[in-house]
Amino acid sequence: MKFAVIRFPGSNCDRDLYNAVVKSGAKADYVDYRETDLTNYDGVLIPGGFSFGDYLRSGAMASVAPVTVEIKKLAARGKPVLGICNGFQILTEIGLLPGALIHNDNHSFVSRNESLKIVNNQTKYTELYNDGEDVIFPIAHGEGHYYCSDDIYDQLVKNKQIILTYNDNPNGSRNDIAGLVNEDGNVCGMMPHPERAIDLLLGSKDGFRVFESLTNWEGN
Amino acid sequence: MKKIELIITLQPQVLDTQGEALDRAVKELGTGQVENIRVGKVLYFDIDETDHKKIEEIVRQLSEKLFTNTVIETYEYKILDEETV
Amino acid sequence: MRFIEPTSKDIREQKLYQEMGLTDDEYKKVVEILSREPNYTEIGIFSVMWSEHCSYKHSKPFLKQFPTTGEHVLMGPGEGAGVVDIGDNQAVVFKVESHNHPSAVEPYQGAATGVGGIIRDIVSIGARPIGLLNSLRFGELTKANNRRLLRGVVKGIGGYGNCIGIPTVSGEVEFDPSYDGNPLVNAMCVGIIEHDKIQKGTATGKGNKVIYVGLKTGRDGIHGATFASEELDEEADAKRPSVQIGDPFTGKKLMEATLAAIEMPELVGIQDMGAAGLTSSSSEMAAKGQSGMTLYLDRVPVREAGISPYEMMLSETQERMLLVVEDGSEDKFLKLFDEHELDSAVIGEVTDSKRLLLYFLDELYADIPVLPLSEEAPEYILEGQESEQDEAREDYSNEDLEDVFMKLISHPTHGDKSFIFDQYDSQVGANTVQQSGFGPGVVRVEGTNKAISMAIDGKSRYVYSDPYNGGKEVVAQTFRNIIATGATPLAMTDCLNYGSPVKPLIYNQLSESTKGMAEACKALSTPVVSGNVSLYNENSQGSILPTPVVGMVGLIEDVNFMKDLKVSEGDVLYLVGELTPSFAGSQIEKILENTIRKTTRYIDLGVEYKRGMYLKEKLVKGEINKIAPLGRGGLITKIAQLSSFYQLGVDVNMDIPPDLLFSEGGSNYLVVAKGGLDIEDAVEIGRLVGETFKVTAQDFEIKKKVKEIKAEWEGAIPTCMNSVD
Repeated sequence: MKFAVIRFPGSNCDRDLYNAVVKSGAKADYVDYRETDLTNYDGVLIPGGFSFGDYLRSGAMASVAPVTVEIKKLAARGKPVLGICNGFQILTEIGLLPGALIHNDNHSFVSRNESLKIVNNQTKYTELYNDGEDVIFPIAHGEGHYYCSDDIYDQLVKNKQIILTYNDNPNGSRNDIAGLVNEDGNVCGMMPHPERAIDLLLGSKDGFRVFESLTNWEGN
Repeated sequence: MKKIELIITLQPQVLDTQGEALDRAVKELGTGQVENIRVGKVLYFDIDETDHKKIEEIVRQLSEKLFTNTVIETYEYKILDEETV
Repeated sequence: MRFIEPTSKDIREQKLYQEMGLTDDEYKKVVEILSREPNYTEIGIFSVMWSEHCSYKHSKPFLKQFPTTGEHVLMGPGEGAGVVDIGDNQAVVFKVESHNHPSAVEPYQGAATGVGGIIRDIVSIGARPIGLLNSLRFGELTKANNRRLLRGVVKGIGGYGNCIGIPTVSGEVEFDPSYDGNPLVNAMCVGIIEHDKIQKGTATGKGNKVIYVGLKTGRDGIHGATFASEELDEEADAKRPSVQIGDPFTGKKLMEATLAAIEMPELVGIQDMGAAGLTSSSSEMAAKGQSGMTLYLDRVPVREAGISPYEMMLSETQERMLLVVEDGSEDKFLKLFDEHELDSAVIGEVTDSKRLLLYFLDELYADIPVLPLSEEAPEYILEGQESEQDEAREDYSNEDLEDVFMKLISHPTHGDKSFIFDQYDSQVGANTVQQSGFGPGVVRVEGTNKAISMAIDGKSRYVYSDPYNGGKEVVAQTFRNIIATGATPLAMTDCLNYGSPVKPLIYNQLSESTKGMAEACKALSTPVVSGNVSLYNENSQGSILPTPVVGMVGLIEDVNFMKDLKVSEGDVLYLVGELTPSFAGSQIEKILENTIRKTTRYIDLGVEYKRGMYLKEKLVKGEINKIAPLGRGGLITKIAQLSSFYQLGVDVNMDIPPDLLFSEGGSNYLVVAKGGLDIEDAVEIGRLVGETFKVTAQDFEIKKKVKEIKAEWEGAIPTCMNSVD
């Protein structure tokens, strides 16, 4: 498996994400947001950060960058596309995932180790976790409140698209939603940072299985 | 050349936490007559068109593609010195 | 085009230089240096270069006392930041800087631009930043204005640091009435570099090109010295000075572009455009290179038309760097910056004239000899005056100590700070081993087992009480924080925040405290490699407390030992050191008497060093689990913080007068370890056990549920922030 780690101006978790996926055994390249060809890649990772300063709206300007057309093509082919934090915001902005991320309820940035629950281990991103397993991933965001309409929420539940929820909701997200997948299960977005939870020395190793799943995507 | 004022607000059903916080602050200041504060954004830009139809097309396209997130936001615009479109 | 400005005659006759902060004598000296009267641009340049911030005219003699060399020091003060060897051809680069006055005016932008500025200092050396720290001071949070300042400053620090993607890993804050309306915002940045990449801010080589890169210049932060122009210019309104605005997005692009530029062999020198950006960067680079520089200011990228040379030279627009590159290589650099979507331009060249020449179109706006501008800056040695000594109070045992204790742990200075540090991304980069919460920051050096320990501290009440010994204690306290992580202290940086040096009492604080600091630096083997001075911190009630702040870094050779450090139920608590009545400058004195007695404080730097290094070894070897240096509020406050943080009960019994639980002497630690250990100078005082917080001393007992203590501790800041006047 070879992943494209997309770099927008203002991305700042690109190195962390690259290191995590390489550590799990896959190959990866940094790919500039102006790139117009991703056919050499088996998957896309969109890192956290503040793409284009998050000016106007988180992920708004990134959503019209040249590379997004290619990301959509890859997603349509069933390849894995994972967006973390700002990457999740971008995936909702470009319509690969439903809903939107809005300001945390208290309007403050929040950074801490967050207790989360794997609520669906029947996806390719979560298959190495137990159903209902509690995990610790760091969070660090100012606009992480997941918003969606009642109709969309019903769809998410019906299709079992919600994969990760907060145990102690830090931002006001609807029904504690922290991460979800698209209907086909190949596009995933989450606010917490599994790539910061791959080493016990740094406090948690719970995130590593996300990357192991990605590395073994085709073998399963 | 026309100057455009584009106002972006959260859709009415979306909780505006900033507005709520302001609501509370205004009450604490003792101004009981004010409520339902909604916070939005204003964009000003010049557009090299005079034809209203064309202006509308460009503004609509940009608003829906970039300026707003239609999942949560709504917009209206004014050609300055003229009526709201 | 000629800009309408006051003439040389106006400047002399109306003494316009005074409004720029120059004295009559300083003006005379400028005339002497130029052998003629300065014009408006020239006097503006002298005024900023001779400001305290750039020239250290009141503080130079004190800074000279500091040891600045040592075994590991690769580059000391004088450049953007200090550089210290950490082995394997790697080095750590760091500096602390104040942004007090801008933060008082506009807390969000003041703090954000403070963070941005210190990051650029580190990056201009060629280092990649790995950690940010901050030291903050506010008035008490019972006042709405102080809450507004705290809220804004914290949002600003986070707003910049989070966006640029450098983890904020540690910090400290104190709330005291002396900082009412004059908050202190000191930001520190730590970076990592390879030895051969170290850059200097120098301009050499006649014909080499000067490149400007970053945000377009606007009229940001130009001092209100535009007075006369309002009569002269119809567009006076448009010339209003504005607050400096930080742009972390551009800052991020500039950081990456600068780090890429440093890889190019044609780079000669680079400097951040900080305070009075273009003036200080151009003249300092020329002075350091013993050369001259000619700038064509009409080529400077500007945000709006009509910005005069005077305004350009004094503008404090953020996110800008000045580079000197080899003649002929300039297009390579411009292309690099273009790829990073940054504005850049060749704006001048290096000369051998030793003069700074400024042209706008064909007109000459300034012609200043470079060396006198920096080297002949005035230096003032004033008369200090020692304060009268107070009588010491050594006994508080008859006070209601339980009440004092509850007030202490529910005070924002001692309570939980997560309201603040939860707003900072502390883990971006995925190398943060230990972050704010209970101890200083520890960041792994990527790709190695090494880690850098970083701490910042200040103890102004001690310095006020006894400037000389208090100065020692500030250095010692930061040293204690570093050894508490198992790191070997390497070197330090300092930020001297004081009131007006013209006041003899303040001048004495400055001279005595720096003397004490210098002695401590020598005794603890932590030379000073960078620093900053912020004077004239005054508010309506007078001067702030003398607040020297020390930032220190230490090296951990193999950080993996931290994996096994755990504080758990059943562990034994040891007091290392001795509790003696030391209440001058303490928190119990503040709470009960609202005063600071001026009496001698005692600290033995020999003991300090030996004890610190001894405990550090024990921690690294895994013999002890936690070192917590005692600080504000004494032993009992530290026990309460530990108990609340780990949510563990304590059972501590001591046969001492109870007020000693609140004493704030130096060189003492609370240590957590298994029982029955033989630790030098230590006594077992109790255990971590159960759900009750119980501390006893002679005729004294506090017994409460940990839950209750924790709630007070956690609520200290939020309760204030949610209150309404």
